[in-house]
Amino acid sequence: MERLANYQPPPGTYNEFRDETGKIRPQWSAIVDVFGDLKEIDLAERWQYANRVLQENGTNITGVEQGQDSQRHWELDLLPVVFGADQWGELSQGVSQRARLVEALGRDLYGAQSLFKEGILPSEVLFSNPDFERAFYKLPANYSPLLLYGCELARSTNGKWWVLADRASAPAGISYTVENRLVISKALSQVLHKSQICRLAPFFVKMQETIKQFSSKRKSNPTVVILSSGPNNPYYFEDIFLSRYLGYPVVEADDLTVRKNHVCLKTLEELVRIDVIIRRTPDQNLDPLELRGYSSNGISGLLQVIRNKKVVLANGLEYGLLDSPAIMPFLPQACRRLLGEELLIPSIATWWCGQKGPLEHVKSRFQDLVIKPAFLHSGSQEFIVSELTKEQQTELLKRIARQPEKYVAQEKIIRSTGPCWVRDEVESGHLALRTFAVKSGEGFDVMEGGLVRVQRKSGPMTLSISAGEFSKDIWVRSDKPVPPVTLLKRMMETPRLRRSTINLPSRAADNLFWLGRYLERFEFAGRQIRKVTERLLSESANQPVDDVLPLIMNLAQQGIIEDSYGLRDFCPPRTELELLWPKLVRNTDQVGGYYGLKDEVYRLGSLVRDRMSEDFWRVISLMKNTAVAKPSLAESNLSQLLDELNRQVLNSYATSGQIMDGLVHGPTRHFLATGRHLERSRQLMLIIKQYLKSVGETDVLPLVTLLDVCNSLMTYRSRYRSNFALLPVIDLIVTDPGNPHAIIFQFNEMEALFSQFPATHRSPQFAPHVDLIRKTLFELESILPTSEQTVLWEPYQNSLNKVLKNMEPRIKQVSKLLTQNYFVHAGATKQINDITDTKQQ
Amino acid sequence: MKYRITHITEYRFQEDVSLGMNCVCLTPRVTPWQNCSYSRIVPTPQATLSDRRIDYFGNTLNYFSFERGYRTLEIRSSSRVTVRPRTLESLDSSVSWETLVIKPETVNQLNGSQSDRVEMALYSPLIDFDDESLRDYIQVSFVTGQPILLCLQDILKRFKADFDFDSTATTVNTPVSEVFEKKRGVCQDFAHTLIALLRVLKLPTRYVSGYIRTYPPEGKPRLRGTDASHAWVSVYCGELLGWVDIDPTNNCFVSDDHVTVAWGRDYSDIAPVKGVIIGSGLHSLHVSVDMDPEEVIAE
Repeated sequence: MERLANYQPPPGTYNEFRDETGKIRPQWSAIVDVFGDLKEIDLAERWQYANRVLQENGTNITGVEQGQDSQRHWELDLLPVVFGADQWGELSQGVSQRARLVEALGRDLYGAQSLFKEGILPSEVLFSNPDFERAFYKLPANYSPLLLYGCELARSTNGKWWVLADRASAPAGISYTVENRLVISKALSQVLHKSQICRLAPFFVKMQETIKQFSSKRKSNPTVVILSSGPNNPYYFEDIFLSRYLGYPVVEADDLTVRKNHVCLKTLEELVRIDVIIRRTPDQNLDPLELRGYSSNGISGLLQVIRNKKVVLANGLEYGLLDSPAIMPFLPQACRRLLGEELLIPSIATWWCGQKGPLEHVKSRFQDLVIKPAFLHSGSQEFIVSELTKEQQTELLKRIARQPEKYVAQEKIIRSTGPCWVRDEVESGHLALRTFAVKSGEGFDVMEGGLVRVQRKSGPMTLSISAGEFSKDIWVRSDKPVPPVTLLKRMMETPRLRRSTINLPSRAADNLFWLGRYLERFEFAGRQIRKVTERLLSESANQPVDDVLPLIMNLAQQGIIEDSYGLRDFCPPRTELELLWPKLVRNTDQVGGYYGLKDEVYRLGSLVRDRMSEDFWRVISLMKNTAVAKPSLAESNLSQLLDELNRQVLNSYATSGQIMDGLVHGPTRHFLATGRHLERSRQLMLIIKQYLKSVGETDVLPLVTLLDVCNSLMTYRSRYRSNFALLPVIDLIVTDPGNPHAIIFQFNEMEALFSQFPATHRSPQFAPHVDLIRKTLFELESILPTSEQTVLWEPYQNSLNKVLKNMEPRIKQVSKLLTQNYFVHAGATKQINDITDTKQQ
Repeated sequence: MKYRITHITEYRFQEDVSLGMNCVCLTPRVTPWQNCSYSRIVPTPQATLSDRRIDYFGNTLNYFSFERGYRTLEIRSSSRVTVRPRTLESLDSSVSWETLVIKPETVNQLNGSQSDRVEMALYSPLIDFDDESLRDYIQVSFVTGQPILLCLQDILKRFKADFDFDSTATTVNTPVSEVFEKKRGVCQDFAHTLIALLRVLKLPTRYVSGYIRTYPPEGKPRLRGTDASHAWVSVYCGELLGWVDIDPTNNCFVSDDHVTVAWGRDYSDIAPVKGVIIGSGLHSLHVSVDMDPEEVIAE
C-alpha cells in the first residue's frame, strides 16, 4: 500500500506521522513498510472484516448520551497511532504521576484538607462543588481506593502534551481499547507480529493482582463483583466485556444488599458476602440511607460497611470530585505540596472564574475560550464562545457574573493529526487520546496503549468517549521482540486464571432460563421453516402445499415471519410463495424473526458465558456466524435457504446438545432445562392446535409433516410403520410419557426439576408454579381413560382441547411466577422520607 | 437548667416491612454551654445490628438495621442534658458584621477548626437561592459598621413582624424562595430562610436542630408529649462570642430554654431520623417529644 507513505499532513497542526521537515517519524517507518506489503484492496477487506467483527461482538455505545434511543456501532480505523517505547515511557511517567496526584487529592480533600487550609485551594472549589459529599469524609483509604484512572490527552501544535481531563470516578473506554486491539489482532495479525507492539494484557493482569491485594489480608480468594448501572447506560458493553475479561460477574446495585455489616450478593440459594466491588457506575449517590438525591437503585448501608472495613469499593466514591475542571488550575501547587514533585504533564490552560484575577483574564479573552460548568464532569456541557451569537455571549457573561464560582474557562486546543483510512483513501483526522493507569502497590502502572477518537474536521471535540467519528488503536513499539504468541490467544486465556466462586446470582438464573426458552424457540422455528422450504422445493410446481400451511400460520402468529400470513386466507398461491418465502424468512426488519431469535440466543449466551465452557461459546459463535448467503440467482434462493437452514438447525442441535451434555447438574442446568421444557411444551401446544384446526381424520401428509417438525417421525414409524392415523400421532406427541418430544414429558421433567430448585421462602411443594405444573400434568394424564377401555378419537380430542386451552395462560403464569420467586430476589429499598413528612416544627 | 428529654418516633405500616435501616441524629451534643450526662436510643423491635459514628460536623449518628423486618417501628431517644444560660453582655459592644464576612482574602488565614466557618457561608443542598429580593431584605438590618448582635436583634424583630407561623403553609419540599415569598411556615422554614439571608452577606451560619422548652398556660399543668423537635440558626460572631444561636421562630437569642442536638449546613445534613425499607404502605408517623425540666421532676 503506497498511500500511507504518501500521506501529507495538513498545515498548522502537530502531525503524529511526519515531523516539521516532512520526514516520516522514526516510530512509524517500520510500520509503513509493513503496511506497504499490504494491498489497498486487502486493507479495505480487512477494514470491513474488522468492523463486521465489532458489530458481531455487539460492540456499541447505547446512544443515551447523544439523546437518541438507538445504539451506535463502534467503528474502528485499522491505521494505528504509533509511539516509540521511549516516547510512551515518558508520557507514562506523567500519567502515572497524575494518577498518584488524583489519589492523594482525594485523600486530602476528604481528610486533612491541608490544601484548602494552607490556601493552595480556594475554599469554594471544594465546598461549592455539589459532588463534595460530606458522608465520604475520612472513609478508610484501603477500602475506598483508586483502582483505575483515565487520562484524556491531546497534543498542542508544538507537540507538547496536555491533559484535557482526569477521569477518576468510573473511567470509560478501557474495554473499547481492548476490543479494538482484539479485532485488529484478528484483522492485521501479520502486521502486528512484524511490528513488535506491546501487549495490553499485562495491564489487566496487574489489575487482577491489585484487586486481589485489596483483600488479601483477609482471604486468599476474595469474592469480587463488577457493579454496573445496567443495560441502559451507554457503556454497558464495557462492563460486560470487563466482566468476561477479568472473570468477575457483573451485578447491578439491586443485586446487592447489606446484611449484618456485609455487602451481599443475592443469589438463588443464599446471600453471598462480597469482598471487593469494582464500581463502574458513575453515580456517586450509591447509598440511599445516607445520601440525598439518590438513584433508585442503590445499596443502602454501603457507606457504613466501608467505614467498618468489611468491603472494598474501587474506585472509591471520593475521586469523582476530581473529574470536574475547577480543580485543574491548582494542580501544579497541589502536586508540589502533596507529592513533593513538579507536575510532569500540564493541564489544558484553565481559569476558575471564582477568583478575581482569572475572571478578569477570562473576560478580556472571552472570544478565544471555551466555558464550562466548574463542577460538572468536564465534557458534559460546554460553550465555545466564538460560536455563540452576540446575545448568547452577553447572556453567558451575565450568568458568569452572577455566579462566577460555577464556571471555568479553558483554552481552545487544536489537536494533533494523523493518517486515517477513510473510504479507501488515507486522510487526516484530529486525534483525542485516552489512556489508563491501574493501581500497583504504592504507585500506578500505565497501559501500553490506549484509545484514540478521531474527528476529521478541526475544532473542539467533546471529552466523552462517545464523541468523534471513529476510533483507533495506540501502538507502542517495543524495544525488545514481542514473543510471537498471538495476542488474542494470550488475552483470551487471561480471564481463566481467576474464577470467582460465587453461587448462581438471581440475575444469571434469569438469563439461563431465557436462554433455554430462546434456544428451544429457535430450534423449533428452524425446523418449521426448513420443512416449509423443503416442501416448496420438492413437489412439482402446481401442487399445493396445504400440509405446511399450519406451520406458516404458526410462524406468522408468533411473529417469526410477517404476521399477516397468520390469516388463513392471506396465504398466497404456491408460485408466489416460492418467490416470497426466502425474503420472508430473511427479513431482518422482522424484530422477532428467525434471525432476531438467533441474535437473542447469542445475546443471552454472552450474558451467561462466564458460567459456561469454552465449547459452549464456540458453538454459540458458530451459530451466530453462520453467514447469510447472498442469493446469486433468484431461482437458487430456495435451495440456498434450505442449505443454510440445514446448517442452522444442526448448529442449534449442537448448541443444546453441548449444553445439556456439558453442564453439571446444578442450578445452572436446572434453570436452563426448565426454560427449554417450558418452551418446548408451548411450541408443541401451538403447533398441535394449528393442525387440529385443519386436519381431517383421514389426511396423511399433514400428520407426517406434524410428526417431522415435532421430531417424532422416526419414533412413530418404528411403532406403527406407515400406518398414519390421527389418534396415535397425537397420542405420541401429547400423552406418551416416554417420548421426550411429547407435551406430557415436558411437564414431568419440570415437576422433577422444580423439586431440585433451591428453596425459597415458600416451601417448593406449595409454590404456585409447582401447583400449576401439577394441575396440567394431572389433566394431561386424565386424557387417556384409566381402564383398558378402547381409546377413541372423539373423547380424546374433547379432553385434549380443554387441556390445550388452559395450557397457554398457565405457561405464561409459570414463567411469571418463576421470575417473582427466583429472579427478583428482594424488593428495592425505598427511603422512608419519600413517603413521610418529618419536618421540624 | 436540667432537662430530661424523651423523643419518640413511631412508624406504622400497613404491611410487614421485610427489611429496614435507619440512620438517626438524636444524641445531644456536648458543647461549652451544654453537657449531656445520659443518652440512649432504643429501637423497638430490637435492631439486628447497631452502630455509631461521629459525622463530618461532629454530630453523633446512630445506625440500626432490622433484618427480621417489622410492622411498627419505634425509635425512643432518652437523654439528660444540662444547659448553662448563655447571656450576651451588651449587644452594641460586639464586632461590626463586616469583619465577619468570609472573603477570598480572609479564607487563607483561617485554619484548623476554623475552616468550618467557610463552608457555612456558602450554598448548601437546601439553600441555593440567591435573589435581589433577599439582598434587599437583609441589607435593611445590616447597616454599615453596625455591631453584629444589633443586626441580628433587628432581623429577629423583623421576622416577628413579617413572618407568620403556619404549619399548613409548607411541606418538606417547599423551597426557601417560596417561604420567603409567602412569609409563612414552620421553624425549619424560618431557619432556612434566615440562613439564606445571612449567607447572601457571606456570614457563616449553621442550621441547628434540637428541642425547646414549652411553658404551659398559667395555672395549667404541662402536657406530656406535646413538645416538638425544633430548629434554629447559629451565626458566627467573632472570636470573643463564637457561635451565637438565634431562634427566628420565637424571635429571641438562645439561652437555656434550647437543647442542641446537632448542627450542619441545613436540614439535609442532620435530619433526625432517616431510613430505608423494603416494603410499602406507610400507615402513620407519629412523633412525640417530651422535655421535662428537672425542677418539675423534683416536685
